[in-house]
Amino acid sequence: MTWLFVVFFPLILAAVVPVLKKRNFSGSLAGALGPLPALVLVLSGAEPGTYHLESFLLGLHLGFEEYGRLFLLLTALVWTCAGIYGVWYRSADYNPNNFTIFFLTCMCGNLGLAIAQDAVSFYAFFALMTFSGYLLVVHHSTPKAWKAGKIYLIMAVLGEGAVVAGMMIGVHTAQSTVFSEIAPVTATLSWHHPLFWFLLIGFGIKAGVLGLHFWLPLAHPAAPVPASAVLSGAMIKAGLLGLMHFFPLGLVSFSFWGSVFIGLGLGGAFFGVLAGLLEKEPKTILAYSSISQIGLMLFLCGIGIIEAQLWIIGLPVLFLFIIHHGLAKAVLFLGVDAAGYVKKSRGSFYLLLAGLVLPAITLAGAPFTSGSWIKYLLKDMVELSPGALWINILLSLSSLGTAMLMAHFLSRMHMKIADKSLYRPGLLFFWLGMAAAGVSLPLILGLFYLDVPAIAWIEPLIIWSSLWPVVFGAFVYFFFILKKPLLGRQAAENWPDTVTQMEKAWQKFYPRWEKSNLCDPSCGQINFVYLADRLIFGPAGLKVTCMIETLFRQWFVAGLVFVILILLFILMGSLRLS
Amino acid sequence: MNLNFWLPVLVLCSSLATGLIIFFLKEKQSALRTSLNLIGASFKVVAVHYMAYRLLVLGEIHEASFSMGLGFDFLLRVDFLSLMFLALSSNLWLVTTLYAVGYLEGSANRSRFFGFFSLCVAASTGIALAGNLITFFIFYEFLTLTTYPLVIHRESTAALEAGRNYLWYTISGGSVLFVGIVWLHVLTGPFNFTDTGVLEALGSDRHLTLIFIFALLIMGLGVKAALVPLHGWLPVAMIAPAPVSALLHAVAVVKAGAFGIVRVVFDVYGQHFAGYLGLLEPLALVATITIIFGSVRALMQTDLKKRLAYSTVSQVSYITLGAALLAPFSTVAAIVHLAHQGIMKITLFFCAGNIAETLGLHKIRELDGVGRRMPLTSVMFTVAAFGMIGVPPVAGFISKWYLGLGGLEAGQNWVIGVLMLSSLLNAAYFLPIVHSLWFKKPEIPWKELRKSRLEAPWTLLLPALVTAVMSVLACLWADWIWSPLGVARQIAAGMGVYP
Repeated sequence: MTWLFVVFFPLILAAVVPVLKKRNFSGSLAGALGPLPALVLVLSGAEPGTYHLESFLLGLHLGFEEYGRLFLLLTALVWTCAGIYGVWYRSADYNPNNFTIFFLTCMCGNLGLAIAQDAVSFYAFFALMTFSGYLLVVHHSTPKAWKAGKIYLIMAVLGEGAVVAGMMIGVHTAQSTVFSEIAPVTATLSWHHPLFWFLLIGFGIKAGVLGLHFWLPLAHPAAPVPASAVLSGAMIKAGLLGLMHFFPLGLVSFSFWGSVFIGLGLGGAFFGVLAGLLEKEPKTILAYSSISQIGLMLFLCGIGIIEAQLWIIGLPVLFLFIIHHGLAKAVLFLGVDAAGYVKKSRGSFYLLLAGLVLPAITLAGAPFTSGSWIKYLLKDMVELSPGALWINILLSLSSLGTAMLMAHFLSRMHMKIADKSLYRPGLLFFWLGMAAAGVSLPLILGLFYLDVPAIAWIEPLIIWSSLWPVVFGAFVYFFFILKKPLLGRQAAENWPDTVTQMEKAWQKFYPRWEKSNLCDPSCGQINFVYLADRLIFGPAGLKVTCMIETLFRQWFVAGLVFVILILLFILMGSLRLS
Repeated sequence: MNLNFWLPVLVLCSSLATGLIIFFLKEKQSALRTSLNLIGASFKVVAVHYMAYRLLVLGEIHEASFSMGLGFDFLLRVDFLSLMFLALSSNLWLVTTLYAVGYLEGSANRSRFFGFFSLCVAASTGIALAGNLITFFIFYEFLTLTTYPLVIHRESTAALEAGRNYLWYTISGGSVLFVGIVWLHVLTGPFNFTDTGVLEALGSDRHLTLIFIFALLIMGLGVKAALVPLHGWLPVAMIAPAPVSALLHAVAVVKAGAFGIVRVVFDVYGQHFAGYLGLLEPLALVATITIIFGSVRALMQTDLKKRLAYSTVSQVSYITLGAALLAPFSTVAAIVHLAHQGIMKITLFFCAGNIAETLGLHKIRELDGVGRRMPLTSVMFTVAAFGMIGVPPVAGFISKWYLGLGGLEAGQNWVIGVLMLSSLLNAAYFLPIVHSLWFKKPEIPWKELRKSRLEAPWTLLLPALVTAVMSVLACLWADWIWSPLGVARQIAAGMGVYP
């Protein structure tokens, strides 16, 4: 029962919200209360066994198993932050009650999939999250939001299709829907098994893997801020969790998929930085940073796939990474909105700045932060695997890039603060609390809760190795890139945006298609009936039918057919008799 | 009283007698007519469920047989397969009757309508209960004739034209089916659905003939099951009133065809023998073409009911596809989709009817913002649409899941691709409707055709609500032994194809 309560509590709240009065805090308060049972369950350290509800869906399995506890913790933490912020969040075109309902249903999906232990319920929660996520993305109903929502929905439907296809194949191969029985079976498959392709595409879309990411920088910024925080902080991790459930991490060494993950991961890490540097909108910059960070996580998974024994160290590092990124990114997204409520002259401005800089340098991996810890462990792991030198250089470059991206984000934020002057100390206070928690919690969890290998924090070499990319990155940004804003802007405007390119291609292709013979002009699509009609009523159709008609009018043709028919019947009759 | 004999007869008569009595009622006696209808339908629901209990739990065989001479029997028999179709038709008859009462309130010729409506249900009951091909054929043709007056109910030129179209298709289909059945009986003599392996015993020199007969039977049944290219009548028949379309698409005509195909594959040829003759692959191919083609055509429609009609063409073929795949899971999928497609599609038609009756909207582009005026209807439409796409927690997901697993089990991996493509197409033609219902702003003010306290009369809302809730519960509690899936598994196990 505990499990069911934890997962479905947000849904119960969602059912209550419409009853509450509008323009009242109680509605949005429900959003903050939703993840509470989950948070209590994880933090109480209780170890309830896996729960099995026989008749629900195709047998519901809920439990912690290997990944559930951490993912539930992350999900609950991020949603709590966003929920608390949502209580005070107000903006134009924002309907708190409506928003909270979908916020809660989406939360139910996200919490559920974190602890679902069988493919069917995982998929059910995944779908719930994805489709209620659409409602969050389009909530502001601006043209930008509609465009983002459209791309989000198209990609989501494609992703859902690929996920369910991959899951069917997985369930069929393992003859079981339970994850703990599927993973050992996928470990025995060959690398080119379609299962892996489908799942990489399906979950890759959700996670924002390079090449499948282009919906993400549109959708994450378009949503109201609390929703952006959960989209970037928690929901993209659902894609990662899906990959972790199905790819045989730590069970067998798959050099092909390992290389793919590493390649896509590093590619995404750099692409995110470069694309982010060209953006102006702080939320879009953060979305690109998410693509970059998810790339690094994918890279980590790749190492676990390539060298199965490294996964023992890799998993706790990945856990730390997920918590670290989830919280920092959520705080930063919320900070984008919180920045609208300070006055530049007041002391609160410096508090806000501190609240933004801390998570930013944490992400960049400054000394004494969880970021530096992760980077150190990552390099440590790479030392043990082949091609260490190159990968190490690339990793250092990627931290440099992250530092530059964060510097870019901070400078853009700094410009933004100047134009607003509404002062809301209460909201700022809560946000600062979250920022403090977001920076310190990963450290605390890493030290006392997760099984992360400790490092010598105060050793000069370690401090230096994590300090230089941050300092150098910030230096490069402020003295080279920022000084030449024209260069950046021009590049940004000429940058080929995937979605725009696709739209352009469509606009180019569509008129051509409309003129082609296959297309029915009345509906603009392939119409087989129209084709058939053209064939039948066209000159050829007329000619052939007339020919047949004249042929049959001649008595000897008809007579011949008649005789053949008679003979056929006699033949059939004699066959029957014999 | 021998229940094993009388129950099937009573179940059949509950709708037959209701229909016949209603013809003699005056147009004004609507209270009497409604109560008669509801009593008949409720009685049938109770009787069918009691029969299901007796069959599945107590293991009783229900059979009523009358000799027609020459060794042919008129045989009513409740076996595992009939049960699903029976339960579907009885339950949905009840809700559709309620809906029809609300829908046709105050319109002309209601006695004729409800009379034929009940007869049509009686025919589909008969199809479910038929224990051999001859009995099946009698009811199959009876169904054709009883649905015709329903299709042309409005008596407009378009309706009459649609009716003519419908008759052309179904009568020719029926005659092809008749030739097939007669030919088969010439070879074998009288046989019942339970006599397994009759055809297998014929010897290998008859195999070519058997293949030919199979093609005839499928062609005959395929007209009603709307297999491409025999589907032409279905979108045209959309002109009928909404309850008729609902019944046509969910229970009676289309399902009768699909059910017939399942019967022929499992109980006449036997799935393994059909597979041995190489008949299943072509059947699967036809089903696949129908699934894709139906969806593509649905995408092009601008009329809501027409889009739903093409969606039916596509969705019903899942049943055929399930029967054509030689695997336990796909058999379960075929049986369970009989019910799932029924409850989901009837919900969609109820909602489309609600919108048309209340606001007078028929075209998809007119639906902008209807969610504000009719939130409940739009919620139910959304639920059913998501079910059709195959998103959990709505019933369609379970069907697709089992069908996909069945395809893999049968070694036909392309089924996954077909399912994916079909789901994408379903999403492509349902999501825009859902989107305009909820998110777009209405361009022109609506006409209010009917005033009521709720968004629509309760008789129009309640049936849709019931079926929508059923479609959600059918997925949420899918693993329960008495859910449609649970029953389908028991049925498949009873047929000896599911472990």
